Amino acid sequence: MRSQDLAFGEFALIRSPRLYRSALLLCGNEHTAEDLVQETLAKLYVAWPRVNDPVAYAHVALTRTFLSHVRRRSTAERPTAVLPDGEHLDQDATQRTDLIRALAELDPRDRAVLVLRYLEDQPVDQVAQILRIKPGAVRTRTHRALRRIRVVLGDFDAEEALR
Amino acid sequence: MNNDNLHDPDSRHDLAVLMRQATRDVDVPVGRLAAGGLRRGRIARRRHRGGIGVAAVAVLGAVGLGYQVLPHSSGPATPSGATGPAAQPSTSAPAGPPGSDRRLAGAQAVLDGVLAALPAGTVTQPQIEGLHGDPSATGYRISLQLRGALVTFYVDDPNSMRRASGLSELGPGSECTGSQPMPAGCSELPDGSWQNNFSRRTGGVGVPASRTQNDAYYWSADGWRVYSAAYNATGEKTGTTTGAQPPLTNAELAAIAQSDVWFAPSGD
Repeated sequence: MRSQDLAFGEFALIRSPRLYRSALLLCGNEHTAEDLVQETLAKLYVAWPRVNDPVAYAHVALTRTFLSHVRRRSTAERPTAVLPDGEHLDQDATQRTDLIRALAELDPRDRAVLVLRYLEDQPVDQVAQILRIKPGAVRTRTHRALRRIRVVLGDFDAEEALR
Repeated sequence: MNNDNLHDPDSRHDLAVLMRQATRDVDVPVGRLAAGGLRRGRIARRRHRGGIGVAAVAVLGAVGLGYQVLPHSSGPATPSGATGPAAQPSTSAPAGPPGSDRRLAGAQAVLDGVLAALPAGTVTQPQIEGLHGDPSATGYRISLQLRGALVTFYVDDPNSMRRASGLSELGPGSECTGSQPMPAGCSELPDGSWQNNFSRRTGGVGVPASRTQNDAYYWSADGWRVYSAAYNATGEKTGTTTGAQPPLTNAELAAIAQSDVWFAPSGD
């Protein structure tokens, strides 16, 4: 048991930044993202003895936990970036704010598709497996989401992203 | 909406770049995430087992570092997509332990050095990647197939993530002398470094513990850690068995782990 805690702790320290960045784009705010990552890591901890690929498991768990939370919420919670009022926002922070606002306009499952495909660089088949939908549906959702993103973000070059 | 930043001529204007740029400077509460995940995981496990009550929460700082140095995808030739483009190795030498005047060499130099240090045998699928693409994780993972069997190396600053998350740092050999000693015991070398070399039977999901794995750990006196492993199979927990023994002995692994192939020449 103790050796599992050691290995798990090491994994959590190293992998949590990647999980957190995905969670932030999915949830849109820091507090929910932190909660989502902790819950994901908790699930991984329980499953740790039988998990062969903890990296893959964590990202599947993160995405499915996010969608499960969304389904449970009756209120249509809108992700919002937390902005420090009156403070200067650097370029990355401005991009993040714009991107989170744009992602918030998407259906949560479409949002998950984009995060998996473009932030996590997962192939279509893998995204389909994670979301339990068909590869064709992933492509459809990708196109729809990119079109919507382009509308929200102005003339962002979504065609480049489709390649 | 101000989209000027979305049209940086230096970017490829694609969504992947945008997502990575937008999240690269996020302040990640690494310590809270890991400690919270561990705490909630323990609670969930107790519930699964029908236990009652909540034990005291262990902070991650008490966890220390385990002998499973870094979890990773099993099997050889992990596709880059498994860890994402951000995990691609930097060509520049990352920082290292504050007390060390040695710095890791660039990724290609490290890979070339390891390949040159291997004994004779056909090498296929050599790969090197940064450790999980996190800027505060300093190190490389190398995997290759030697005579058809998997060999892996990790080199890292074991305290880099601990510093980033505000955890106390571990000294050389602390993994040997802590409350959870390494398997088979460790030995301290005359220069203050530590090593631990051992073999074990391993299995995996759907794979009985019928394979042999040779391990060699090395903690340098100036704060670096190298973990190497050789398997008598094509993958760590997957694939087929390739022979009675792994392609490298403990001594051969240790010789590479304790060599200077990881570091940039002095003065670079």
